[in-house]
Amino acid sequence: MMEQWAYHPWFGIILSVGMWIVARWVRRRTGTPLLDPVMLSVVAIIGVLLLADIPFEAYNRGGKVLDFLLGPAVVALAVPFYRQLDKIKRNLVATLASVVVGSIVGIASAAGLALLLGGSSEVAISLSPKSVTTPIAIGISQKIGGLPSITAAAVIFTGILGGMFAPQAIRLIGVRSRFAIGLATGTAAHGIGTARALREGELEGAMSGVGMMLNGLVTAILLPYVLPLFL
Amino acid sequence: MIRKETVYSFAILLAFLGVGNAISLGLNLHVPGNVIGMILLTICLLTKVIDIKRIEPAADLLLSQIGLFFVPPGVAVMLYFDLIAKQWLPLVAGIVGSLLAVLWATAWTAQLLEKKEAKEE
Repeated sequence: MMEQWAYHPWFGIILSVGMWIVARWVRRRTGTPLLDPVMLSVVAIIGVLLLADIPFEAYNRGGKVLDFLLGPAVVALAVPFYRQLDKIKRNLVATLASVVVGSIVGIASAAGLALLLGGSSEVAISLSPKSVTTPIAIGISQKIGGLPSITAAAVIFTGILGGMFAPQAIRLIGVRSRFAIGLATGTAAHGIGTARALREGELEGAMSGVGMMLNGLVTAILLPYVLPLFL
Repeated sequence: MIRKETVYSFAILLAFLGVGNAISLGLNLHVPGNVIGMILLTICLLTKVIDIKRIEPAADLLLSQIGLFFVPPGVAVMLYFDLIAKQWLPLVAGIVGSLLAVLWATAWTAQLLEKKEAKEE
């Protein structure tokens, strides 16, 4: 069996924080969005665990401690939200309408594309909540007969891709509004997208937090009605 | 190193998280406790029940490092390598295609409506 030290919570914490510090340094030195610090840290840590033959359960003793801090960090999104409230109030209709559009497009396109390309209905169901934050997505997936582990993986992949490319992808279609870029990033790529949006600017970060929060609510409500249209 | 104000503001965030979790569990909601906690804290900031200065120290610290907290769930992807290998095409195409569709549909709608509202003022 594996060495005892890998099962100590400090192993996962030190490995994660260490890789995170290195990844942020690399990101700052190179300045390329391809090297998203979340993606870099994840790839490096999976590499270390596979090479050293350390099981995920050992790493996750410490991982759970960092997971826990996600809770207060999401609560803390109230701060940028409050600071940007005037901007949101002025665009209340735009904010709500855009998130509802994004939610329906997300459910339909994920399930539709998966079915079109030969995916099983289980895969299609599991992908449908992929834009919303992990705890909501897993709750939805369990409720509607998806595979929560596939949903969790899809949510994380979506977030990492969104963290790497969301602002550039949005600028491709000629959208320049910082309000729109932030809102769409959070709606499409939840918290990992929001981490990226916070680096773009406080307005982008706040709108991304709003998009993440609203899309979690809207998708939880709409998905049971929208998804059956595709199955 | 860590100031008293930071600890105090972190405790407030944890209290809101706890209340949010209790509501989510108690009412059996799909919405997770952290999102409910965020909504409650926003309401308390708006109604001036809580001064924003009291929660800023820990909030700004946590938000500047929020990506770190997604690293462990990201590493958990290694548990699903088998499932991903079996249905990689519908999975990858569904994720990438849908991500772009949501980004473009949301951003386009937001920019369109934002401009209209600005003109009305």
